[in-house]
Amino acid sequence: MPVREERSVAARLARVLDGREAGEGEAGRLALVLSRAADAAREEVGEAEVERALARSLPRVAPAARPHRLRLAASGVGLAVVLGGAAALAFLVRGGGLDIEGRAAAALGPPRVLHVVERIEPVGAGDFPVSTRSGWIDSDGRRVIWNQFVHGRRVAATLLERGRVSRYDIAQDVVVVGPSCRAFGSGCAELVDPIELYRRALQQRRGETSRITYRGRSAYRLILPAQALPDTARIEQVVTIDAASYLPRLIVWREPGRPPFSRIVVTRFRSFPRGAARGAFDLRAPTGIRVVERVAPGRVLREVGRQALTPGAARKVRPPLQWVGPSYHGERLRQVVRVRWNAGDGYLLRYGDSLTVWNYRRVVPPEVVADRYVPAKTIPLSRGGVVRFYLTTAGGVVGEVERGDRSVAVLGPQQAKADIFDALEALAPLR
Amino acid sequence: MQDDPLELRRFRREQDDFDALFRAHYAEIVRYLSVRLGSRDDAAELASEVFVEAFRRVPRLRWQGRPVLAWLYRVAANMAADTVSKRGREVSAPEVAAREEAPDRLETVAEREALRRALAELSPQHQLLVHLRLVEGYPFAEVARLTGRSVGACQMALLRAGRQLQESLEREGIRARA
Repeated sequence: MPVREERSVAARLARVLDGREAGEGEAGRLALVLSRAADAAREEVGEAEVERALARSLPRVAPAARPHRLRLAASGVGLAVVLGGAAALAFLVRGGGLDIEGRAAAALGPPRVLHVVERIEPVGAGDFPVSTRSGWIDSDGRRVIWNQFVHGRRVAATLLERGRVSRYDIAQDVVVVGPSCRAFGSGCAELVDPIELYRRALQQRRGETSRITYRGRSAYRLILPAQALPDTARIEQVVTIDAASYLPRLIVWREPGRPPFSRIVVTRFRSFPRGAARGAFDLRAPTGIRVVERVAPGRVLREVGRQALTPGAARKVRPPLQWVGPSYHGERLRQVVRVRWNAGDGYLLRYGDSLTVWNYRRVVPPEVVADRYVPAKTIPLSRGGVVRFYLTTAGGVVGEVERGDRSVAVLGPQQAKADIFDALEALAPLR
Repeated sequence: MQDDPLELRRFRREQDDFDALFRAHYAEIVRYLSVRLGSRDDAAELASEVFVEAFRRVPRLRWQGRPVLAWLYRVAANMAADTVSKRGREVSAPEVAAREEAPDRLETVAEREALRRALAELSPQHQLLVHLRLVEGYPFAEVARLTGRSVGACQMALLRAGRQLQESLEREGIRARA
């Protein structure tokens, strides 16, 4: 059925359900089916049951019901105690002559082809669906592929092969191909393997070690500087390793000054000889899928002009620009600007000083280019697709998604990832 | 679009008054989760978890033009998806009452269970739309606001959900009675 007719039936069904039209034809039949299904699902939840449930919940939430400032102060003291304990334990562990970092590095084995499966969980329950990432990493660095799954269904895949990057966004049904990492805002940050980052951090031998119990088993906790390169954003890795195998079990990245948003649980880690990993580096996208070619500017990027768009002109841009509405957190959309570079153009939507939304295709706006040394996290969106979170060299948080032929990046210099995530969930076409 | 000051006040009130938030929305979250999980008891248990999370997080939410209820449904949907995933299957078959029923009552029970099974087969997004518009009776404009979609998109999705329900019922040889 043509789309126009579909819309007409959908609108008629809506009118029947609203009681504004008699139920006839397909709309009438479907309204009846939907109403009967709704009747079957209309469970009685009485007031008494609600009160009982509230009474049961209150003891669980009551201990946390302290004034906000006091809670912060208390958690600060708690953190100090934990850190103090960790420091003391670190001294004891080292004093015992155990080289935990050396053993952990040895447990990773010689660099070959690694297969890593990780579960990405929200730190705050329900923030986003739990997803699984399965990655194959050739340790010579020339081939890396990551597949991301939500509830067993693949939602995204990214392949780096001989410098060329291919991103398959299953919700958008598109493969975006770039000749290098520079063709993407997040660069190749999403391909940085947390295990490889962990291996490198171990080599620096600058971590703090403490003995803990993790899920009932003896373990060590290592706090490692993820990297210490100049002009890069600072993050730390807190890695829990099994005390028997010395393999990593849980990796949490901490960005100083920002609350943790997600954590990575390593569920599988195996090393293979190269010959045994044949076929692992196939992107596997359906034949005939739309492919969008990104062009990394081969010359120095130069801005050639800016044009402020009126609201009317912004609404006429095709395909429509993605925005987060007329205001965000009380900050109104102040301007829409078309920025032209020598290699292409992009659109900048500025919401006060707190949030910027970029729409771009060929050129990655310099403002959203990723810090090359900090890995991105890919997290599924509730409406399909994935968001790539990464930090810029200036330390700003960026969330980047694919929308049709364009990439959309939401940048909030002072925002937490949870806020950026909410903004990305709110993205809609500006019409 | 201007932010509605009444909506903003309601948002602030729900942020500040956990008991009121619980009393206002617990029942509908249970009903929603009941279809998602295929179990009334599991739904009640998980709904409590949603509100425990709400107690921690809702006071820190920022106003984005959407009610607290939109956040509750999002968290409930994600928690339900995680629960279903942990079980390793989509839904459990609803339990049918084992007691003896009169013939006409049996027909009603069979139809009711078939309808619930058909609902359970819908995608989570379609389940949410059917729940919001049909079970809870929110107008389309409110459904659109709660789900972050346009009214037109909600109507189209509901059309598809209706067709899928109809197909599922026909496969079972059941026609919804007026």
